[in-house]
Amino acid sequence: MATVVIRTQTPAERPLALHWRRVRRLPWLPVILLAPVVICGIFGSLLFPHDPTTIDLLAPRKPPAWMDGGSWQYVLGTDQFGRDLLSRLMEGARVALIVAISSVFLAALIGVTAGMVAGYYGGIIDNVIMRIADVVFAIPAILLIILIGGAVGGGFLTVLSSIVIVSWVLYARVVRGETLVLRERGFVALAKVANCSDTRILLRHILPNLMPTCIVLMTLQAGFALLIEAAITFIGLGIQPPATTWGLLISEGRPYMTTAWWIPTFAGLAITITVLGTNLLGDWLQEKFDPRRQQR
Amino acid sequence: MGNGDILLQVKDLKTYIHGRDGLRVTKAVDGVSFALRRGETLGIIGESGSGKTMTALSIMRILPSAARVVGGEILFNGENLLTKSAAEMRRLRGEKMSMILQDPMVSLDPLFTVGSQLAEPLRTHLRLGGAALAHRMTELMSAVSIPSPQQRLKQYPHQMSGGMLQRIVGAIAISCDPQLLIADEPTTALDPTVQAQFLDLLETLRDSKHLSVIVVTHDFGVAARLCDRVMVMYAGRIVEMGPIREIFEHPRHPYTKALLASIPDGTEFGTGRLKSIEGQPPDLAALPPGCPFAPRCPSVVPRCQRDYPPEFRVATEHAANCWQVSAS
Amino acid sequence: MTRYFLSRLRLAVITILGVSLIVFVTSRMSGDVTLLLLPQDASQAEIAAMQHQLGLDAPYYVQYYKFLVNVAHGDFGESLRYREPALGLIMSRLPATLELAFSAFILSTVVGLLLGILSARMRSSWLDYFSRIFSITAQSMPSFWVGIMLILVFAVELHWLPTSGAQGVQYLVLPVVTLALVPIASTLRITRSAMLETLDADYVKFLRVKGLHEQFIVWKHALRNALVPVIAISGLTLGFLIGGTVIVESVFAWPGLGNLMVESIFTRDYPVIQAGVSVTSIFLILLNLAVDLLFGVIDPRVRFG
Repeated sequence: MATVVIRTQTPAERPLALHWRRVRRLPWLPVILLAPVVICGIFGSLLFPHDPTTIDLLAPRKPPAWMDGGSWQYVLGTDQFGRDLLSRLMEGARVALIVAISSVFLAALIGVTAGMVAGYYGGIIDNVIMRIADVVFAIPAILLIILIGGAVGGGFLTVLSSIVIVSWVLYARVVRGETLVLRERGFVALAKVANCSDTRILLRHILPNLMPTCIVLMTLQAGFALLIEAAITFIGLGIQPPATTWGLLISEGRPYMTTAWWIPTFAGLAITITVLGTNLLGDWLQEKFDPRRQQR
Repeated sequence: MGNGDILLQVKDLKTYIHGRDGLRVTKAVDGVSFALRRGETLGIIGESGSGKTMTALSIMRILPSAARVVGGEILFNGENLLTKSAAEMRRLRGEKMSMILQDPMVSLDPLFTVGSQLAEPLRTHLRLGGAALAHRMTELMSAVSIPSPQQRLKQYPHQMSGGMLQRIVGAIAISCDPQLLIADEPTTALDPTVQAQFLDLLETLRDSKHLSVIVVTHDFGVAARLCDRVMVMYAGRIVEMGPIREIFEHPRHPYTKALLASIPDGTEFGTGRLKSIEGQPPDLAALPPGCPFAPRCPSVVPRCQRDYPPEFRVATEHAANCWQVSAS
Repeated sequence: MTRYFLSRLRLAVITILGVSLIVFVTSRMSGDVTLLLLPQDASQAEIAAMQHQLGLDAPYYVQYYKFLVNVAHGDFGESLRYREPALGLIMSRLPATLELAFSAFILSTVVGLLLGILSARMRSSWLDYFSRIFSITAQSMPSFWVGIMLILVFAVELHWLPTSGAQGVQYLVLPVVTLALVPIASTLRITRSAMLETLDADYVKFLRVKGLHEQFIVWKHALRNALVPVIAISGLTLGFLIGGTVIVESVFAWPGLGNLMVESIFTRDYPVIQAGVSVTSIFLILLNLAVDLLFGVIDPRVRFG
């Protein structure tokens, strides 16, 4: 049968329209949502209106400035010991940043390695890694954390390892799937012909192609880490006082919620805004890396 | 030719696609006019993006949400389809006018048996049920020559081959004896051996059911096989229209000539090297003035860049939109 | 279908064994049981005797085997706090938890599906924007904070609903809503995108060619196709819900498994934690097996594949 083959290509877009779209498509909302955490997290101690640990027993549970009995000295009010809530939230941002970044990088390191190895080598290694992942996936995250935390007690290391243990699985599964596809691609075969070592193929040829997916997952998981931190703190296995974390502020403020609603409310808002920022940023990155999803 | 002979008349049809930002307007179909006689088979030929499928979808009024008919008339049995309500169109579709889509593998719902999908239009339009429905379904399955129809009707789409699925799609399309059948690239997704079988089937069905057919294709071989007349589309407009033999033997528009030249040498089943047309199809959202084919045209004259050529009649029923034609 | 089911069954058994291994390992990490059972000043010999009595001096694989045998007989040891079998304690609390989890499951499935379908149908309408904002916000809030906020608004301020406890249907409302929020969001997102994809599919175009009613196309064909991914994640959703009850139950003092687990952390009642984790995990693994079966029923490609 006769076939007409005609070179087709999507018509090039005009540069001006492209430029306009680029400006408009920058992730303005996530940037605005995440800016306070990042700024407070890095420069927190320079910006504190008060020392977050100074106890003022004469001014416990003072309401925010705009309410009756509030003062501009303590903009968001004080906690049960008279500590400035705003300063404590800013201190919490530092901890949040540390928890999110360290746990995300550790989980990604473990998960991506496991996923690449499983997908690239296949066979028994793949089977063992994926069955371990199945098991971790089968136990609800919070129960797994109770199992581990119940055994070793609470604290920063428990929080960190808990988040890593429940979230490496996601990286491993996604990365394995993509590696399975990538290893069939021509450039991997070429690298093999050129006698590259497996390690070199994995690091130089496969890993770069996984980066977009990893960046999206890491962004989304950074927010998830904060939610887990809050949950762990709530069940008493988290970072212990006198440290300040947002999760701890909510837990500590809970008994006073009828008389000092602002303590748990603002701490929860801080978490929500930050996680919302990472979720939106993750969605934006996903669209950017995979334009087919833009329609959804 | 009397008006009673004409089943479908499209006048100055314009279908535009609006971009998501609302700024880009793609003129997918831009002033297309043609008529289809009863019992006639018309081919619409063009490369992808030439507006041929959009023309078909406009007639059926099943355009994607971003696309809209912004002008013209579509007269079916003398009635304008564009002024009909959604409910009136629904009653026409499937019963009086029907369509076969390009890829049979995705034309049927994977979660339902082919039988239940064949029964749907019969129940909806002809109100068939019980034994009459079962009888009609078996009849249709044998009309598209599917062996052991009883078992096949109980199967799911993924259990069948592409060729068989396309025949079932064909059976569904003609199930209510429509007057008009549009076939959009009906064989493109099929294996070459199955393609010929399906074209045979289309021909048989057309002749036995007195169908008027529009075949949308990029393939002159398919057109030569089925069509009485063809119209060649480029950038949303008709560039040449005429009887198939005329177009084959005396193509007048440079684009038609290029398309014909890109058919492999030798027989139409030949395996010679394929030639492609130099250049790229234009951006339909930013058409330059003048003839849209001018940038790729081997015999371009200054006037082509300025004015869009009108229709020049070159023989009975044969016309082309090209300044070259006027010069000769 | 049988082969499909058998392969799923094999995976389920392997996963259950894996869970038991994790429970066993963590129990050995939780500290020396003998020290809890013996007086502070016990001699080295007494400790050794106790270890021998408990079988703790045997090689690990022997200990693990014994642990498996015990678990198979439903013996997770005794609660250190209540002095009764841990499994019995867990089982007595399980119904309350399941009541909460399944109510939330029904709520999230119904609301999520409905909002997902409607926002896909009315794309770019106010409802669609609301759904998208809602789903991304719901997935960004810590659940116990949501619980606290709901109590603050609906119980403390408005006095519409009780703060905590479990004495009737009105006590169910706030915990179920808190628990269902995230699954509503995820069901909504998946339904919406599956529905958009389906409504774009060629077979839907062909259904329109056939002249079928739009409502018929949406609710019979598109919905069934959009249900496939929703069912695929329903096992995950139930897992999330049952995990989520741990937090929600303790916010609302709901007398279920989760509340017991959190108490057990504070009282260091490790046998109860072990039994709780094992029971819920095995329950979920079996539930997922059932979901896989259901998948085969709704999707012929799986059934005959």
